[in-house]
Amino acid sequence: MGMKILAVDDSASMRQMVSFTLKGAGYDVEEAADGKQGLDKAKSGKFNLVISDVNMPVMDGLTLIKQLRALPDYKFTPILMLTTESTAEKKQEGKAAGATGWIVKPFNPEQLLATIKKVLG
Amino acid sequence: MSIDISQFLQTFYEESFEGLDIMEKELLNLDVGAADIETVNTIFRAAHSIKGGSGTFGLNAVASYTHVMETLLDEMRSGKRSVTQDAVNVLLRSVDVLREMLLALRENRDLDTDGIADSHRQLTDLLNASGKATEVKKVAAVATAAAGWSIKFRPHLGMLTTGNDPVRMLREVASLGEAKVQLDYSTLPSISELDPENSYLSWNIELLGNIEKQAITEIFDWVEGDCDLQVDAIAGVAGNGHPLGLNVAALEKSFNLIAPKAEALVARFYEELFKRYPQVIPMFAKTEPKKQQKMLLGSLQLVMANLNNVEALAKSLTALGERHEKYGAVEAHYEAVATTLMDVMKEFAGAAWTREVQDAWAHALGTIAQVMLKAYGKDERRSTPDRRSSDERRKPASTESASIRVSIEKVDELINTVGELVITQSMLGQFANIEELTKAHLLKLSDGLAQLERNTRELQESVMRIRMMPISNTFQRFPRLVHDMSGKLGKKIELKMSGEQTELDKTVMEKIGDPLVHLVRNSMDHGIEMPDVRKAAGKAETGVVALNAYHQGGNIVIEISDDGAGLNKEKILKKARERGMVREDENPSDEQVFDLIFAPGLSTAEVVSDISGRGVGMDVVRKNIRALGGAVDVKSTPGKGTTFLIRLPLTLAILDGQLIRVSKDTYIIPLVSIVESLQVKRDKVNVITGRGEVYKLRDEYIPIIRMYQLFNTVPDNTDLENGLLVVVEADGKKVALFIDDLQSQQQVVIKSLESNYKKVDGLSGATILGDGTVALILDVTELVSLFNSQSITPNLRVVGKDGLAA
Repeated sequence: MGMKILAVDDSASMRQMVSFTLKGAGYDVEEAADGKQGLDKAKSGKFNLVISDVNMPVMDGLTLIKQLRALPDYKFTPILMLTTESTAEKKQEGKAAGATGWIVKPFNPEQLLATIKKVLG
Repeated sequence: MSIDISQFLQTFYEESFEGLDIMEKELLNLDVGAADIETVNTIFRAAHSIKGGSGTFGLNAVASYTHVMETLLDEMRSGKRSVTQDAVNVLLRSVDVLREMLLALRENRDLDTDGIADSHRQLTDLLNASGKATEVKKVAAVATAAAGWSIKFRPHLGMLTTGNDPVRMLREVASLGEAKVQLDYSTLPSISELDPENSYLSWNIELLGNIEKQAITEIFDWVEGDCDLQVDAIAGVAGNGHPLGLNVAALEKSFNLIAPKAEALVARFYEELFKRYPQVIPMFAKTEPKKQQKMLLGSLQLVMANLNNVEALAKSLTALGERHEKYGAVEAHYEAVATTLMDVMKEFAGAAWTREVQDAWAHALGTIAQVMLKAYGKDERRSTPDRRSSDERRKPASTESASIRVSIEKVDELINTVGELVITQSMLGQFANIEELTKAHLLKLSDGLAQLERNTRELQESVMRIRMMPISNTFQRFPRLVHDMSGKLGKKIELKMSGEQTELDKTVMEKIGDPLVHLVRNSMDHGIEMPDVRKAAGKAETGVVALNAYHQGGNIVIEISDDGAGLNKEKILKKARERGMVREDENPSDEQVFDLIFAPGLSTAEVVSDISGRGVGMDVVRKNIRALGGAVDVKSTPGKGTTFLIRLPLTLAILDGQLIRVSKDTYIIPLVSIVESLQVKRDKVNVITGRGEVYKLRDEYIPIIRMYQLFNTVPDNTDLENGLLVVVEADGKKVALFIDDLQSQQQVVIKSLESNYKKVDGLSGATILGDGTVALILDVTELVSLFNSQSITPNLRVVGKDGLAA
């Protein structure tokens, strides 16, 4: 066990919710407030899953995902984007960047957990 | 597993309000026509975060509202839409609406649904104005019953590098029903050519059961484009052309027929509904029948107008559903409403009510009910805690001013100081164990006490600083105010702000907001001229209103200046004479005339405008500022402009005071009001009949108030020459207070008399001195006005009779 998840979101309330939910389910969660922080954290340790918001200051989520995918450690790692965009165009952008999939906001903790469980098996 | 999401709400509200402030600020920064993309991006991000959070935290009204804003902004940032003044105004207004919505939600108040709907409509109108086709999405999938599905799933070579695992998807497919999975490894290369990072396998699945196609495609949603997927029904039924299967033509035709009589129809509907289902009557107990009828009619019209705009329709119906859930409507009610409504419509339509129409409505009303019922429970996350905390709901929300956001630095500083205090304490503590103090000990002890004094002072300063906030908190509302008002006035006005980081006490800041707004409005309304007038006067068309704040000797000074026409001395004087405020033979100086604008009942504005003429005059501004222990003055040069100067104490809790003695009691005079102290020369004292004693100080005659008479005590002496006069000034008027002795000057902590005893005229509060005695603080402004209103001296009204001064 000991699955490690990195949650990247510039919104503190969102981070709190994600990390509270996942910690409650027994996952190890670390938080980052923007893409840059997220990338630094990801480099400092291996995570089993990365959840990232898309619109963030400093470094946006898509850039983060692109950079993560370029790292050998994260080549096959599931990376989910948290997005309010449900249009195909936006999803395609995410996929082109290397995202595994997405969780469309709004979501509730149960939905989040169900998705994470599916991905991490 | 259930997680109480409300615990994150507070954080969400806080960050949302911050986001709204950013949006407002940046919207005002936007250059219409040539908007900076980064600015638009920043605004977009803020809206986006609020939308995401509100949806997640179950604030659906906020989410759906922000969605429109976000769409607009998204089009702006991607260059699909130009930034017009109109759009900026609508967005600014929506920031207000949103702020109000969030406040209402946080405080459990009712939402102003009309205002929200109004602004929502403005936004949608704006959004649709470009003629961009709104994406019509399938809301509810038409039921496609099938015995099962045949699925062909062939991942592309690189699918694994997206982090997607085919096993996961297969597992999920199998969880939907009875699945027969066949592995196709025909494309698997020989081991020597095999790249372990590629995926070569594909699968054929036969999935049996009553499963919606969407449920299957959803599983493969993430790998769309990374695989070939084919899902075929083993046996299926298709719907009609409309996404919801509505017979739009029949619905519209029949509705148009009865529309002219719609009001009568809805009235009749409720009559019939209540007759048939008396059990629903209590649900309508709180609303007026007329209003209720109007609402139903509105809903019907909304549905009819959006028959082909499924997305909008679903959204309105979802909102409607949420509301009906709160009203307590259950599924059976929808049936009752549907049958009654159809019967009443049939009654109105007569022969035109064909079988086709009947079926169309039956289906439409059924679908509407379904969508509305689907919205149920969505709001549960919000409504559940509401119900639980009904006690809290009744409490007035006072969270706003009860808390304060403090920068970490200030807290660190405080902790630091406390740390030093602990060191000092432990140092002094050593002396407790010493039996006999030597001289060296005493020296050390005195050092320690000096250190303690320093620590205490630092601690006091640190704590006071925590209450201090930059005045930008108050200033930040002005760009918006100026923007909105200059539009309204048809003037061109630029706002310049400086010294925003100047800090002052939170309480003072909260109370100075309104007077400041009034003064800025006044400058814009009466100060700055219309562009053509300015041009004619050789000035730039754009007028400038400047706000400046700075510290000056224990006070904060706020300047509001404009480069407008300046005050009209003649006009003010004329009006003042009409009102009898200035005698005909008096010839006051410019300063005195300008000061008259703060007098009650003097407004020189010829037209009471929408903006400043709100019944709150400059007299109220001055009163409010005085209540804060401050002062306001005005300077003006004709043709050049007007400047208002507000001087405020940094804090209301501490005051620099001059201790004085009258009889055996110590009193405190605020240092700011003292002009000078002097010893009396007999020949300078005159007695004027009816006005009492006056003292000739240079060219002025200053009335003398004998403090011992005021407080009804026995002084050291009653001879003016043996005592002292302290000349104090308030409202531009001076009086001399006759006292026994001047003592030290010190900072005193103000304690309220009102809350501990009662309000006493002439006193602003009390404090506790170093030796533990209570000293009363004189309210100089009140003393002066008391003196003037009595106009008889020296027998001023005695205020100390309650034994307070004894």
